[in-house]
Amino acid sequence: MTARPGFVLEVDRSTPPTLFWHGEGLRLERLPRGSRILYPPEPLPAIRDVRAAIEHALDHPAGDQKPLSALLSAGMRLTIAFDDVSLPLPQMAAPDIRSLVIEGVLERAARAGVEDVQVVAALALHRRMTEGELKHALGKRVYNALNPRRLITQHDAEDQAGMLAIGHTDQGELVEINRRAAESDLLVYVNINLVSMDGGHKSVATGLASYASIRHHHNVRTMVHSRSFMDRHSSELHSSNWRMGRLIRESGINVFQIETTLNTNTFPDSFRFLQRREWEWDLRDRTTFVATNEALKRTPPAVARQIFHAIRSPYGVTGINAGEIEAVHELTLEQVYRQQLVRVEGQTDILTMGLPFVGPYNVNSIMNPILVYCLALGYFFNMYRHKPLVRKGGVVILSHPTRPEFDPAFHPSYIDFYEQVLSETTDPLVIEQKYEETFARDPWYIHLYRTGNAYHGVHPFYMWYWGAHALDHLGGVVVLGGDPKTVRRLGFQPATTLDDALEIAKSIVGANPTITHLHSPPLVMADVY
Amino acid sequence: MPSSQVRYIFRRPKLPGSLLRAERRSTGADYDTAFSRKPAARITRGLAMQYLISPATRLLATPTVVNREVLDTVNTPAVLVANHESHLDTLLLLSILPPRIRDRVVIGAGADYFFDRRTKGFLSALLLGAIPIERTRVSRRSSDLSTELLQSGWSLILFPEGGRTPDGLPQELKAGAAQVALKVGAPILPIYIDGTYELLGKGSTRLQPGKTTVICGKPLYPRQGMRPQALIELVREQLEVLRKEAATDYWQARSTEPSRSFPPASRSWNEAWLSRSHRYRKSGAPSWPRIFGSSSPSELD
Repeated sequence: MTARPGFVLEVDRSTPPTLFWHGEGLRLERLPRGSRILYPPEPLPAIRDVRAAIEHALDHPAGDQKPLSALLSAGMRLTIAFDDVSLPLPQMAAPDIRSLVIEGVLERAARAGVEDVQVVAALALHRRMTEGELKHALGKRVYNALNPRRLITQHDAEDQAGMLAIGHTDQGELVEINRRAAESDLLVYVNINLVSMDGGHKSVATGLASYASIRHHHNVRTMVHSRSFMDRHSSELHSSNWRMGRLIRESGINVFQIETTLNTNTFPDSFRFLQRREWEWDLRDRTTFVATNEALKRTPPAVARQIFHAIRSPYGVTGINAGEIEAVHELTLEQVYRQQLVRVEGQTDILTMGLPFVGPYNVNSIMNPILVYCLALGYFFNMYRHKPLVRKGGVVILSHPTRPEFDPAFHPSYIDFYEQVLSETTDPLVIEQKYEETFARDPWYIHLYRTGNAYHGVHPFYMWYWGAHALDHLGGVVVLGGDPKTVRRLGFQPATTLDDALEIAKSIVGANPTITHLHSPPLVMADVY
Repeated sequence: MPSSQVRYIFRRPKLPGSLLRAERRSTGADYDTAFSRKPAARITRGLAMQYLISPATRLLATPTVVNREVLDTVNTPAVLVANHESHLDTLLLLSILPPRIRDRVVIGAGADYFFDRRTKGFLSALLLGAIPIERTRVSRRSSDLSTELLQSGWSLILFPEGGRTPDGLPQELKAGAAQVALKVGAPILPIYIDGTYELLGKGSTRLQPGKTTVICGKPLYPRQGMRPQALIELVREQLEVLRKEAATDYWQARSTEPSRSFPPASRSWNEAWLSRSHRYRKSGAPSWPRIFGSSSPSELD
């Protein structure tokens, strides 16, 4: 059975109500007649024997790279870096693809007699992973063999002695990465490419870099010129990472990149209605939806959150490519686009979207208002190629409860960012100039980042810059069902019902607007002409 | 109320080690386990073992026992020695022993770990039949007690590695078990337990159900004038072969060139990786169910 492609549906009288994520809840909304709904392609068929595909990829590298076995020898120093807990979303049902790939690499390394091995979680400025998360991502076998010997480490961007400055790019960007990775004879990077933003040179140049290096591309100017950051060829974020990555390559660091792509089979069978098109919901789907929705309405948000975060996605692996970074990434992008891209004719005045309970930075945690902003205006808004789905001066309506709740262990700097910075201004440029340095250098945040499970002090700023392109482009943002005080703090407008939200939006874009809904789940990317 | 707070209320604080004990020392190697060999305690233990501990262990650890008949024929009292990968080892051994041994067996347990608190010591002695073995200091008390028990007809289970493996690889054997066996003239039976490290290794907090293998070796009868080191070396040689057998099969374990691998020369990661590879699923596509439309590796070329 082949997967049906994605398409754009025009809403008519007989179109059933549309499913919207609403944080840890769901909504069924009836969109006005004539609106368009962007439906994602169905999950592509998965590779049946993933282990064999991994072996195949390691033996047949893409681009100018030797097979992995030829790069391994006794007495060498090998470092294996892998994407952290921010991917995939929700977490993948065991076995995680990273664990299978790393097993494949270690199997060869063990047979080649490699003694000096270290596995590094490429955190960049993200929080350290918990032991449970590490065990899940790496799998029992890798964890049991390496953890008692302290061979599993997590990248520490604030460890001055553990970083090595490689040099500056021709644009003056400092490249500084993990010393262990830089001084290894071979660096193997194991990635998961859930969306087209991930992977390529960004893996090493960002994942293993320091704040001093990351700040060269994680800033307002770069983000405003990344149109979109999901389209690597039109993204300033990626251009900067590519310059850095090429410098890393020229400095003699040998990187063997392994990129993996997943299909969009995001939810287990018990939540299968989330992945079906509404008019195809059968009796079981409708019953499950009503039961789930009613139960969620009566469940405290903290409990609902725990239930949702316990979901493990039955993703299928659609591709494994290994070898030279740029060649590998082009193959990866092709696979990601094949899964997620849908052609759309023309932009829209109003873009609606429902935001789920999880984003890259709140795995096993609370989606705080800043992360809501980032997920909507950073990630979902940027899920386009060529042109934004919404026209210049248009409006985004997003559905999320946007409660003023924060996780003090994972997001301590977010609390202060919300209280101190957003109460003053929401302008990314002002925020960057006035506050970034203070938060980034704060010794307490650095301490929590290095020793606890906290995001780096500067991370909320990056979240805000992530939405800078959208803020620059849009005429307004309306949050459907959001906490009014919190929504206003973010600089947006609250609305209780979709009709209210559309009325508010019309006051900005004018009467008789065109409306497009980005249907999620699963992930979809618009190719706008 | 979190469980840590409940524990805090009900646990008497330990005396700091640097302070002199005013009270009579009755924990550690001095803990008196004589009560656990009285009829009432033996009946309690027998019932708990029969109806609770053994079925639960068999369910969680699914042991495959190789060469079980040795347990039926070995002379008792005997000293059973095994490698030590996990806390499950004790339960697993108890659950596979025939009643004639199980009803009259004691287990050597670390005095500093199992007998550091009176409650813990009481439960270990009552439910497992544990006796304290001193690991941190030189003391005759443990060996005297073991000898005494062997002489009075109790079999003994000992883990001569002296503790659970920290990394899945075997450790050096201590000669204590051989010394006791020689003193009494009891047979010593090596047993290799494979797979409990993956289920509940040292440092794990959560038990992961799975499969295990227990392979019984040949009983070694001590000869007059034999030295403990020589006897424990024979045990070591057997455990080495049994370890190979667990990873391969009977024939391969005995037909390959003997190489000293118990304990291995290197404790590096790749030694552990290769020696434990048989515990993990082999590669290969599942043959069922057939998912139509999925690709096979040959299509990737």
